Amino acid sequence: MLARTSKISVRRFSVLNGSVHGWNKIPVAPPDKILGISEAYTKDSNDKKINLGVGAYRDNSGKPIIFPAVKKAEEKLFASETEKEYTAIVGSKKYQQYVKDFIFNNSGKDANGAKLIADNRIVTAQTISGTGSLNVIAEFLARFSASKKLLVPQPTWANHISVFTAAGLEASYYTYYDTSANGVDFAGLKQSLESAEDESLVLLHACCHNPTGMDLTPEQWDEVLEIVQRKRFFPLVDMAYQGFASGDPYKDIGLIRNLNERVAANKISSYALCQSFAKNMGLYGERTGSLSIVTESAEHSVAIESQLKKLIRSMYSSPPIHGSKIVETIFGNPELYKEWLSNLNSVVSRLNTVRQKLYEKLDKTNYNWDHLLSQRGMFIYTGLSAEQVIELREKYSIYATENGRFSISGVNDNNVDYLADAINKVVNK
Amino acid sequence: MSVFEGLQYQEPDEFNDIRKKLSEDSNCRKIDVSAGVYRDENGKPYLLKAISQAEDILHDAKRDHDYNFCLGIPEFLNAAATIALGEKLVKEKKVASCQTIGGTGACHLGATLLSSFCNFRKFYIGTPAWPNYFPLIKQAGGEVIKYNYYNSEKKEVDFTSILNALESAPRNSIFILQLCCHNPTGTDLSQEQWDILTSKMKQKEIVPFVDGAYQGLASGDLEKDALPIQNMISKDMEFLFCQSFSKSLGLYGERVGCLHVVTSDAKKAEIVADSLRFIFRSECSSAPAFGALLTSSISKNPNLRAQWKEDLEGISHRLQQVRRDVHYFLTEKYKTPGNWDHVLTQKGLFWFSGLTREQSKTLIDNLHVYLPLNGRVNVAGLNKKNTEEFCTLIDYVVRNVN
Ligand SMILES: Cc1ncc(COP(=O)(O)O)c(C=O)c1O
Ligand SMILES: Cc1ncc(COP(=O)(O)O)c(C=O)c1O
Repeated sequence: MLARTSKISVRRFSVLNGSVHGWNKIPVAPPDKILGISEAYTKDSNDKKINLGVGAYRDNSGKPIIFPAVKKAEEKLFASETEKEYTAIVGSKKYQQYVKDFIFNNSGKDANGAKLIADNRIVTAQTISGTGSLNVIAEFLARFSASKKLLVPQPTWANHISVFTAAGLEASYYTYYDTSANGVDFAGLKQSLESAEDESLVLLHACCHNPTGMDLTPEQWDEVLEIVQRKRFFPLVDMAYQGFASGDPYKDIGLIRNLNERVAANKISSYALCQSFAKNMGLYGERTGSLSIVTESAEHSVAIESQLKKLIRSMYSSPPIHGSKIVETIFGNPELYKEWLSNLNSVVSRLNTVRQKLYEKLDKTNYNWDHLLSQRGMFIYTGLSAEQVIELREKYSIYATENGRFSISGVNDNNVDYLADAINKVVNK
Repeated sequence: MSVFEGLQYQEPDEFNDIRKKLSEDSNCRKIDVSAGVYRDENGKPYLLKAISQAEDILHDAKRDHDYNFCLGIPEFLNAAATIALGEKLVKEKKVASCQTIGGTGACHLGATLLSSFCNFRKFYIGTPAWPNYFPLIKQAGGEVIKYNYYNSEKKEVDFTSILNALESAPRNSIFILQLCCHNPTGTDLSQEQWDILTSKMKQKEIVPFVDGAYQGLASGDLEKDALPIQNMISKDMEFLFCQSFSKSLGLYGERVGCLHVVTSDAKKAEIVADSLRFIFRSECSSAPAFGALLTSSISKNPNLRAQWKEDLEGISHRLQQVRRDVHYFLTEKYKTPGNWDHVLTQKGLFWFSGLTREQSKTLIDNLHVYLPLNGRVNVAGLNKKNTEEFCTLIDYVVRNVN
């Protein structure tokens, strides 16, 4: 936050309102694209309208859901809660423990991660979901990292750049995606990482890359991490969709396991993970997530935790307890836990079924839609141009962001034909 | 390589150490007057009746957990602004509100807006103060200028010092002022003093930054405690109000707060709201829903509002009763040397006892009484069972320790 004025008001905003007194000096912030789409959607009176802008799950009738396991956990909570005292600055020990065990120990399947936990080499803090986690690590790195240069994939989640530049880091892109081929540009990716400055910070999407839905294969990750290791980059992993790639959260953390292996072998000294329960527990609005830093030693962990506490204390004191108590309840109860895994799995299978259905209905004579089937997670990165997206909106009341990213959860049995038909018309025009 | 070369150990946190000692003390008669949270007559955390009832309603309403707007849940924002500022101002749309992570989050957002987006960087803080202001302002990119708020000899607000600070402050400076139940002194400005201060601030173009963390706990009446706000509104002033429902609804860990920026016209409020959205999007995306929903469901339901009023009055009455008891024991029963009237005049959770560091240390180290070393006593930690014993220990240290 320290460097915000120079970075943002000068570089980004050239239009300042004239007057010197009071709030007039504040520049108008750029509008939030996703929000703007939802607003326009709400105002549209066409009864065939479809909202493909939201990043939250909808069921086959277009409604938000509560995972049954979450509902049960919440009921237990209602029945038993007798106070709402502050939790610790970095969240409760219990929450930290569950998160560590779930992700790093992979609940017993990752011996390297288990050893890191046992050696006190992982510091975990509960945060304001994934965004808050990114914000805390950004502020932390802006203070303590020798390098302030952060590499992010091109394209990436719309909010990444603002989070990091607001904290005073310099963000720049590494090649990730080839829009003409609708796939990962792996040669370009390696080349741009190779040519980046040594010891840079590098942001990696753990799975279900947002917005493209295209992830690296385990072999490709190996190659990337070799570069990371050789160039002594600091890996910063963003994991907002754990479970949405395969339907199983344990299968989606190959990157973490790979990193742990390299840390165990002393090839990478430390890394950070920003994690969110927004999508995989459907806790979006309750703002529940975590930041973990894998450190060089137990001693380092003590220092890092004390700095995280200092930082968080001055930003918001402590994280909210409702979502974290739900998480604790689910992880603390084997039956609920099993039920949650199966809830998550059925959500992901609906997304995959819809993906397949849409693919089948799309006309492949003038456009190759095969990339749809290699993409994972909540989004379809169509490759449609901004003009085509606007045409879909204006002619067919189909609302999506202009980068051609469609949220699959807005598609269901009732509208998939209409959607496919509209896309075919726009593409074949 | 190490990314963390700049890292060093932090200074030990005295208050934290005291809390640690407290949790390790197995003496069943230990007395905790350290933390800033309310305790009921049995020394237990207290869930307001209004909150339990709102939870039942919310539970039946089958809500989902979907994402909310960056600025917060509209119904909550409206309720929160009305509680802080009154209906009239809200109807005129002269306020930009953003739901935050508790009152701390509101202070952080307000300070960020001013220092990083408006280039207003000088924050004046009267001491002693809530210790978190200092790192918070620094973190947000502001500069802290301290002045004396409290006259510890007379045990009253050092009004001359405040006026002098105001006189010397350049235009566009910011004054952080606590609305009521001043932390840590319990000593508030009178309505007359507020009136003089706000006129001066308006004349000198200084921005009031009001922290209302304890609204409702001074008098037991939310509106009465907010009179200084109405004073500024009547003067058409622009100001910031940092709101928290941590104490007034006992929602501590749910993290319910709101920043209200009051502007001179609706157009400016719109621009400010837009900037708040921009800042908050990159810090949190949105604030947590659950506590905010409890707050707005209380606010819109007349029965629950009445219950909340009753809860708050109950809390405020109990705190006042404890103060009377302490005063009685120290002055009448034990005739402890010194004047103890300030225990009665100070408001809210805190009694700034005037005990010295050594006296506080003795209480902590030898007598199983836990308080911060500045001698701040949270009177909510006292009750019928322990007040007299507590007073005998105060009496002991006052007579025997310097
Ligand atoms: C890549 C990525 N990271 C982080 C987030 C943060 O999500 P939240 O703050 O809701 O947990 C999102 C949400 O859409 C995302 O897509
Ligand atoms: C003076 C003051 N301001 C603000 C706060 C912040 O409260 P919270 O963030 O818990 O709502 C506190 C809490 O103790 C306080 O004493």
